Amino acid sequence: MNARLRVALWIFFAVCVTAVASDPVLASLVQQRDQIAITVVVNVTPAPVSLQRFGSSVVGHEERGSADEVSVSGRIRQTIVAQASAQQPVRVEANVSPNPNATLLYSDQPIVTINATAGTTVAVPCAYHVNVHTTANNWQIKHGVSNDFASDFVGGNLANDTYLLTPAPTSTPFIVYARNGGVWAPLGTNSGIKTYCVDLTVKVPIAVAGGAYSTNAVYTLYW
Amino acid sequence: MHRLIGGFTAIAMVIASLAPASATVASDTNTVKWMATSIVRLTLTPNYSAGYGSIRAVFGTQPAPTHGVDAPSVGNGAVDFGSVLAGNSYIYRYAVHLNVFTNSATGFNLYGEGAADFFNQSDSSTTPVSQTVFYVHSTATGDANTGFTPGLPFQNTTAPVTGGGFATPPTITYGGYPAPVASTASPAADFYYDYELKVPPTATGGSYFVWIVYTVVPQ
Repeated sequence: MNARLRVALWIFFAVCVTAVASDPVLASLVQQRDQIAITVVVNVTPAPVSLQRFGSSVVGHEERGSADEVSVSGRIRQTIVAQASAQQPVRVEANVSPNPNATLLYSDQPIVTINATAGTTVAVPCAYHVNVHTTANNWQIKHGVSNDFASDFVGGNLANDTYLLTPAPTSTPFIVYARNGGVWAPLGTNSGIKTYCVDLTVKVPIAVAGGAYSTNAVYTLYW
Repeated sequence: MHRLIGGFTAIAMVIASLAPASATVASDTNTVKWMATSIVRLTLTPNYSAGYGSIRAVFGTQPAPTHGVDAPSVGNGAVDFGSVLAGNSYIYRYAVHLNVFTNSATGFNLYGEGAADFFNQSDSSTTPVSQTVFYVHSTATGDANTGFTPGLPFQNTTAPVTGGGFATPPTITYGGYPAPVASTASPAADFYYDYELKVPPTATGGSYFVWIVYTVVPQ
């Protein structure tokens, strides 16, 4: 092989590599294979008033017993008979078919519930596992949360420490897909069957009102 | 009869007016007691708007909704997700509209619970309703929720249930109430909900159902 032919081959190789790297069609050889969501519910108890430094209002919930009659003396007050109620049912149906790919990417917990008081941080070791069940090599897994819990309780208040064997020394806040340009955060690249343990830490801002808040921790598998 | 009573009343007033005036006026606290008859009305409308139905959870452009045969038309039938795959998640848009009317000056609580777990009629297996069926706040029209919109789970009630077969709407008899799905200080309100279905990856094939029961109780 003469030198001129060798140079031509090198140029051809370089052009091919450049084309593969820059062409979105060829680059899309890595495809999304599966995606799952774990619902994370945080039941928030309002902070004690003494801990509320900035005067966020606490809406009291008045529990009243039943009363079938009302005395009027000095002021007028009317109470409705508490036992009265109305009830309506609705049927929810689905025709489920088995899915051979259902265990490609799955979690042992479809929902995680965390109880926390506003102004506190709660950690849940190994709140759930994420399982990748494939023989494929060099798969990638990405993650994040779909939404904020609320405008004053952003998704970044939920942090994770996701590991195969040994926990990391610190947790990392989840990125919020809706506010991250529609991009998930890389979690890792691996091969074969793997199980991740996910430690969760939720920090509830002190001004968050009591109630149930939720988001979805989303995992996406590519190769 | 009314004339007779009126006559007695007039005579009593005349006698009272002829009596000598008292030197002192007695004062006392009058206590009036009455029975308050409550009005509590709940109207549930399934599939309450055009475009109702099931959509697989995806980000980006949403596929057209579909539904099963038991959700035949707007305002009728069940919340029927139709054919779904194990391991996948779905949203059902425009699932139920609840119109509540009461005469409670202090508002009311709305409770919503499963009468049982999600039951497979084909092999009698179940999946926990609290891990399978979720509710999401929706709107009267213009619903933009997706299968990844955060929802909250329905719980399987711990109260006694009467009925609850596929064709037998159940009744829940509460001794104490669970956490409400909604609470308001207004005497009347409308609530719109989508439902989400998270089918467990290990769910066996078959026809599943669960009754979701809503209860309104004045506060």
